[in-house]
Amino acid sequence: MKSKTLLESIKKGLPVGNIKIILLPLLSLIALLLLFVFSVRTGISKIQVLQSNINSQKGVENTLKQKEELLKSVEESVSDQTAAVNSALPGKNPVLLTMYQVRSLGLDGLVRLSGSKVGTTGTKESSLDAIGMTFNIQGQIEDVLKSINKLKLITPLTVIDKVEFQIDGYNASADVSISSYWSPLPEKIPSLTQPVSDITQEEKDILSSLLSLTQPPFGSVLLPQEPAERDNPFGF
Amino acid sequence: MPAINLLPEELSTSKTVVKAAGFIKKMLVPAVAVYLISVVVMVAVIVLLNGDSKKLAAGQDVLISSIKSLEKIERSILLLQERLSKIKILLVNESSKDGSMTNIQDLLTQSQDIDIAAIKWIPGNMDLTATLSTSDQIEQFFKQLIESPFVKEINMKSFSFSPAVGYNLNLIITTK
Repeated sequence: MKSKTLLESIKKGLPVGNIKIILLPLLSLIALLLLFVFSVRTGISKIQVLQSNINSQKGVENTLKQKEELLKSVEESVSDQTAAVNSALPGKNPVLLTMYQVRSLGLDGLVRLSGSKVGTTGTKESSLDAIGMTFNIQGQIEDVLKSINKLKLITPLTVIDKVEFQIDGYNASADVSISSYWSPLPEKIPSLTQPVSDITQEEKDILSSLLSLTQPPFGSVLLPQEPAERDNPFGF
Repeated sequence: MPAINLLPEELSTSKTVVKAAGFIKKMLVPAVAVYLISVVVMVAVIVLLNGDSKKLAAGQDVLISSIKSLEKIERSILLLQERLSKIKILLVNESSKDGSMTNIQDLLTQSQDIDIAAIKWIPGNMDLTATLSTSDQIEQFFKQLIESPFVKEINMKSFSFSPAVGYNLNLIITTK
């Protein structure tokens, strides 16, 4: 092997001594260069990963800061607003609430309500569930009209599907079909780092109109009474 | 005494090669220095960035715990937005129906000379039965209907006259 190399060197005119002299520094330089390239590549890729991590962390931090600010700014008003929208569009079937609100139309004694039927399927809107209700209102024409108009101003949100007026002089009898809407509450909330946006101006306008609607006095959720001690255990 | 080299000239070390080897050796020292400096700089940068990353992570933890304490508010906002988006759909779909209902009220309250016997109303459609005494009243009534911004089309279902009652009309009015 050695004699072969020697022969090759002699043939090329480069003596073995020359090769021995230059080989070690040359190999050292090549090794250093390779080490340099490897180290720089590894270091730069590590720096890039860290930099991108920091950038995404900064993004998340900004999102979290904005979210915290928004949540703190709406902390006081949001509960009333949520109550109003919950009352307007309850999460559960609002049959009792609607019935109460319709019955309230006759409380002033100007119109007489009768023939209430509840539970029929209302006119469904795209993503909303509906319950239907029919009833009859009798009274003077203007009072009947006022009562029908009041249906637009109650919660849960109610839509008049059909009205049949029978008019006799100044008196009117109206068979009214209405739909009340509800939709199950959302079950999932987005992850903590997801941004939360404030409601838009259009939504604020809707909200202010909802706040002016007549809500049932007991709200949209009927809570069970706390158990209480009875003074007389034999009485009811 | 002169140095005697018995090796053939082809086998003696070349001066160029010796020079090149010396040059490479000289280059090795600064190259190693540059390598070491670059490694130190990179390590320093990595350590600094790591520190920044840890600081940011700690800041995030504080923010997350603060937001967790406001979770109830967040749920309320999300619920508010979800409900409002659905209510918006409902209001957009239903707002068009209000106009025709207002039209009924106008008819019932303003048409003093007309004896309206029955009105059946569903969104977009009204079935009206009325009695009018004179042809002038009919003209006036139709003028009122035509001028109404809510009336799209009027179909006369029936029309009759009796001297005792007057003109009986049954109209199907399509509303906008």
